[in-house]
Amino acid sequence: MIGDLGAALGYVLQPAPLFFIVLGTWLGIFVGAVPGLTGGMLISLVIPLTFYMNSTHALVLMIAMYVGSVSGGLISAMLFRMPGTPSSIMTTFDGYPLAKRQPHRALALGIGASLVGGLVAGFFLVVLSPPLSRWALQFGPWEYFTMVLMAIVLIASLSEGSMAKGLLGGFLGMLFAMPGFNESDGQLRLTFGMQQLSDGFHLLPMLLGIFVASQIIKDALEMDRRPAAVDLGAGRALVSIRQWTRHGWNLLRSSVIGTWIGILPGVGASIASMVAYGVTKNMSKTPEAFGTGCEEGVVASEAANNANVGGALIPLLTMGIPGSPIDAILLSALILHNIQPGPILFIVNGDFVWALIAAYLVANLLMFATMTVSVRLLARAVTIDRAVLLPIIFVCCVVGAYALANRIYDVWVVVAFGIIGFGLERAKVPLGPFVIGFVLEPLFEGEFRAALQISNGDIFGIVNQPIAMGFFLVAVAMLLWPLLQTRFRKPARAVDSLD
Amino acid sequence: MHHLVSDPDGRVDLALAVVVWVVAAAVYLAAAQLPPPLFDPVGSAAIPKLVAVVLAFLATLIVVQRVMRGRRGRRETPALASAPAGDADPVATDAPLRPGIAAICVVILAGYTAVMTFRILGFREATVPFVILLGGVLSRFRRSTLLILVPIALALSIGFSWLFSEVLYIDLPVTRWLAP
Repeated sequence: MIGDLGAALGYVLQPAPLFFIVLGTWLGIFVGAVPGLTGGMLISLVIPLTFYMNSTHALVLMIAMYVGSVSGGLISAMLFRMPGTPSSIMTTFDGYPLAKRQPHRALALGIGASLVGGLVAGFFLVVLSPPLSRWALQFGPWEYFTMVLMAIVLIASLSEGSMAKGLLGGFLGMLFAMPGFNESDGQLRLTFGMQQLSDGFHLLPMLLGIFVASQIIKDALEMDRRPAAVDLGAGRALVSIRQWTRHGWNLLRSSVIGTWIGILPGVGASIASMVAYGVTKNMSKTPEAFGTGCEEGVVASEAANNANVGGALIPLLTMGIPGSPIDAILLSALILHNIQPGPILFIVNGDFVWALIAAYLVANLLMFATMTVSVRLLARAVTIDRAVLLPIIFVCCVVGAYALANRIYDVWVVVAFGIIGFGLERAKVPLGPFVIGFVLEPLFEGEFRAALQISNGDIFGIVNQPIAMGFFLVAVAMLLWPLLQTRFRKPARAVDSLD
Repeated sequence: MHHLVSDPDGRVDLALAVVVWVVAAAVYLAAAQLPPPLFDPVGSAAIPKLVAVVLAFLATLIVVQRVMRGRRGRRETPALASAPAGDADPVATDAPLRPGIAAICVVILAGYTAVMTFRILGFREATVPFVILLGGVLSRFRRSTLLILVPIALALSIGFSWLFSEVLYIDLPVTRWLAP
């Protein structure tokens, strides 16, 4: 393990991979810092540009973007009270009031906590990935089918807001993955007489629509919202090691929370920062200080959201199950680069996986250095005119979608999914479950079909598979837990349990 | 039921449910017309039918929840963590939303795609007015923004056309008047 990691670190520190890590981290930080632009948007846009690149360089670039985008969100959250990414919302609560008093200290705490969170998750990524992938090699169709089922229920139950809407998003995503040619029996289904639908909806135009076009429409709606900036003044975004020691336990706890929430399939960084923030507040001696510029709140939120990135890479690299919506995009990128995700990836392409893990660790260190040095420049970038950026971004979408199969139909898919994504967000249906449902549907259906075939059509064949049964029971428990919880508390409120 | 129509969130939930019911019904009916499976135990229709039924159920549940919440007059609260009190509301701003501008942007996006679909204009010709028009609408045709947008539009139009045709050997849409 250590030898593999050392070799991979040696590889990613060579000029070409290092260039892509630096580029990806910087672009990610920039995009994360600008409200209205997200990491998902950036990585979706970059996928078509990577078709002509070496697969390792392409994925290294995207992972660096992922790390940078989650970290960059803290700049606008602290200085402008506008979370650059959804995962920075909790940082806003204490980061902005603290930054009004001590801007450099607030930024230093956020950046330092991001680094620690990223490295703690990196430790778990290195230690857990090889044994998990070996364990996952035992998985057959029943295990994969129930794991996907568990992932969809988990995403929905931990989505922000209503669980029913989270589930609705997941199942809608699955529905949109179904039209077209069904490989098992050669039937065309759900095409409604449209010839173009016989090929279904391609992954990339869907991602560009959901993450980019819908964001353009949303930004147009909120174009007049201008942030109220904090004056940075003179100083440096650094905190001494001695001052960090009093946040040690909080840093470690929040990083572990972020990592483990990341490992849960389908749950993103915003949930991780919410849970870590809530736990830290509950355990604090001064919970009343939270929301008024409390350092503990900043540290908890930033350590957890960055740790989530590393945690979420664990199920992606070991089992091919996305740990967050951005991991669903990375999964798509693997597929588009003809790399078969899943436990076998570690065996047939171990160097590639270790290179991604090493890139993740290096990107975290680069993120810390870049943000510490260039925070003043990044603070200016936040105020960039979105009226200039958005048309450029859509033109990039058009060429990216068109280049996929040389057909304008895919550009229409981008526009259509942009409208669908915008509509779902207005109705408070989370987009994360939608994307993960779309990505996982072929696996869900294919594995269910294969499982029934090996059980001679007997649905109760699952009973003979202990791991699959475990996943299934977890899914059922996650679905029923809120219902039972409220029923025991107050029977009349049971209907709200799915809320 | 009255609450559902009078409350803006209730109207959104009702509209969502109606759209989902229609989609679910269409999917179920389309799947029902597929022939039964010959070799595999699931076939093409079973999963779409199942998902359609689940979607219809969830849409109904969302409406029922909204009606019951309206009766109790309860406000929706986040599931995992609530915002602390004080100076903490992110993106709190007095600026109004601009639904009209958002609608115009959708029309511009669709229009840009349509002119390339019907080859009225190719990518190179359509991109310049598209970038200027979309950026202009978003900035309310601020002169300083327009001055930045013009060279950007030209660079995107000429740059991508050159990159795709000369380097990647992919032809972006061309106008029918220039097509060979």
